[in-house]
Amino acid sequence: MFPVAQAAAPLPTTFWADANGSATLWIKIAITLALGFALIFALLVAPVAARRPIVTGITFLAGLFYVLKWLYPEPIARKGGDGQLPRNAAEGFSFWLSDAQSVVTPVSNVIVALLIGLGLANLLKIHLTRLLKAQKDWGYSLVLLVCMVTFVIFGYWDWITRQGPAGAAMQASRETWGFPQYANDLLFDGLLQNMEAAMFSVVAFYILSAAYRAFRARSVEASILLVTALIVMVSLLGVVTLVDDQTIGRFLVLGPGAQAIAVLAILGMAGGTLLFFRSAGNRTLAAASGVGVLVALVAFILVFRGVALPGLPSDPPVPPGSFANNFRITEIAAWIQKNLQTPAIRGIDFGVGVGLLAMGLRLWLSLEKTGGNV
Amino acid sequence: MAKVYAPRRGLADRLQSIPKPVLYLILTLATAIPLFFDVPVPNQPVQESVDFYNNLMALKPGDRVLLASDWTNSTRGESSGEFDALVRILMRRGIKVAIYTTADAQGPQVARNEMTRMIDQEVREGRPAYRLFEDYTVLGFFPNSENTTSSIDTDIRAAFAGKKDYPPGQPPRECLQSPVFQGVESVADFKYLIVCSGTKTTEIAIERIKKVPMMFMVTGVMAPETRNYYSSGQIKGLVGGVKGVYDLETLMSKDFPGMTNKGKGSAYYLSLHFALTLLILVVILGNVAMFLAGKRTR
Repeated sequence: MFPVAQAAAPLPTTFWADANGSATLWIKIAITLALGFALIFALLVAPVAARRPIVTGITFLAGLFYVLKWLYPEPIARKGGDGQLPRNAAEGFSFWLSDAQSVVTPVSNVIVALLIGLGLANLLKIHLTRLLKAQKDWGYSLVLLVCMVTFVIFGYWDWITRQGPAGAAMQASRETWGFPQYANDLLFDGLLQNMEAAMFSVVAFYILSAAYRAFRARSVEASILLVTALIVMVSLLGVVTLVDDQTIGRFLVLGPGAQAIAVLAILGMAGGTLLFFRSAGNRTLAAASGVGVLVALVAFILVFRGVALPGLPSDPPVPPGSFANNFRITEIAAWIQKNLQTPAIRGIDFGVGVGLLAMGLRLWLSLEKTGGNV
Repeated sequence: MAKVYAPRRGLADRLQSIPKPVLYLILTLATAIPLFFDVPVPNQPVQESVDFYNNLMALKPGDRVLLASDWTNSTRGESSGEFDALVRILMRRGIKVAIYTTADAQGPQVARNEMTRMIDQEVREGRPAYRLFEDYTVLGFFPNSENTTSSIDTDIRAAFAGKKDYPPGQPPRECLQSPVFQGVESVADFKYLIVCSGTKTTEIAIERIKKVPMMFMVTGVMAPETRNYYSSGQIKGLVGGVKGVYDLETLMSKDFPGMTNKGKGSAYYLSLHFALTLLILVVILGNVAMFLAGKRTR
């Protein structure tokens, strides 16, 4: 039997908490495991008519705990473990619900862990069958099984050797590592984690390709979406926002004539762009509007960067509280996020929440019939 | 026999049919090449990152925070940078931290590795070592996120009972015996619950944690939906993606002069710039090509 981690102060021994590493604990674990498997087997062989009330009853009781925990008032200002007594039956029930949480949580954690085991058993069954019968793509099954077994062996080997007194030293420094630690590190950090990161990064390529091919202004709605998306994306570019801030700062210190030219240039660029997109295949119009945009852009740059402005600071800041702040790209993007994006997402989330509530009720009351034959 | 001529492709057609491999190659170069250059990019931290940072800086040495490290290396591009910046601030401010995971069984090991790396870096720069078990403890993995989170809010000592850590030079000990948990009776004894996540555990925490203020560190994709909870005041600060990490590093450079504040945010922000610029350019290119071809449809 491998060493179990030592607790400096022993836990209070109850039926639910035997001494760590004791023979009684291991016997209870073995009996519980055997009983659990027996129960699952009994459920599997029982007729559907007998299964249904058992599963429905357990599901209802399990769900009832959470419903009560959520809806029943919590004891006010109660701190765990201080021996405080309830004042009446209503508060006593509230105490009981709170105390039960510490039992329910490990039970549910064990059930979830068991489900992971069930998933593993399923995987083994499917891929061993495919491998042994040499079915189509049996090679992939072989790779999966070899990887699974290798990870389990080295993972546990590493874990067991870390349970002894040398565990802390291994955690602090690699110098005390042995073969299982290096092997596990190679598999875990060297292979698995990098493959996961690589898989995730592939998304960037799909996003780029999809943006190029599908993100088109085919309708008014799509055009609005496109423009807002571009504004938000541009606002994330620090260089662009800096230039934008400087430009607005400079605009405020320009003379009226230069300001008028700048405004005309901006309107020219906007109008030219609109005309370009409305040219609908008319090449002459498209070319003329393109040239117009370019001329306006050059005029704009000349006013802000080309015109000598003696005595001006190189980067005049936009005064705080100035109306001109509303034209900063970061402000526009923040307004879009706060007033358009967030409420829209909140609405979607609300709809999803209502749907989840309905689905949760159906599951709790066993009205949902899909996904099994119980 | 009559010759068959292929129709001549115009500019619009060519612009609309850039092959995927070309786009992929450009993206690879645009994101990889900037990694070799240390170019400071101008930055204006967003308010949600500023709030996150200010709240951390307002903590006193010896205060405690609870950290849900719910990420693995699949989102390390963003999450590890967030984790590193957070740990740097906590170490330098002398704040104790208890780390747990409810998202993925790999989480605790990933967090341990990252902590060890950051501590090594601090020690190399001559600052005191942040000690395992004394200053921080790793509680491990809890498979049922919903129940565990609910239990943390109800009775934190019961939720973490039996979990063990490895104090140096000693056999594994109960995490609850760590100085991090000294005097802790409720989750309210922690100053903040910080969830550093690449999954839905942020929502699970929002639904179940009532007794302690929370702050979130999420991936860029998750940031818009998580911003809901920031704008409603349910969380006190938010760090979203590489931009959020760069915000933290920018803010740290003012309060921790002469120390290494640059991390993955500074390293990746230039790449993010080029990737976003490329994305904007291809969207514009695709649309210009569509209008040139006169194929606008409603």
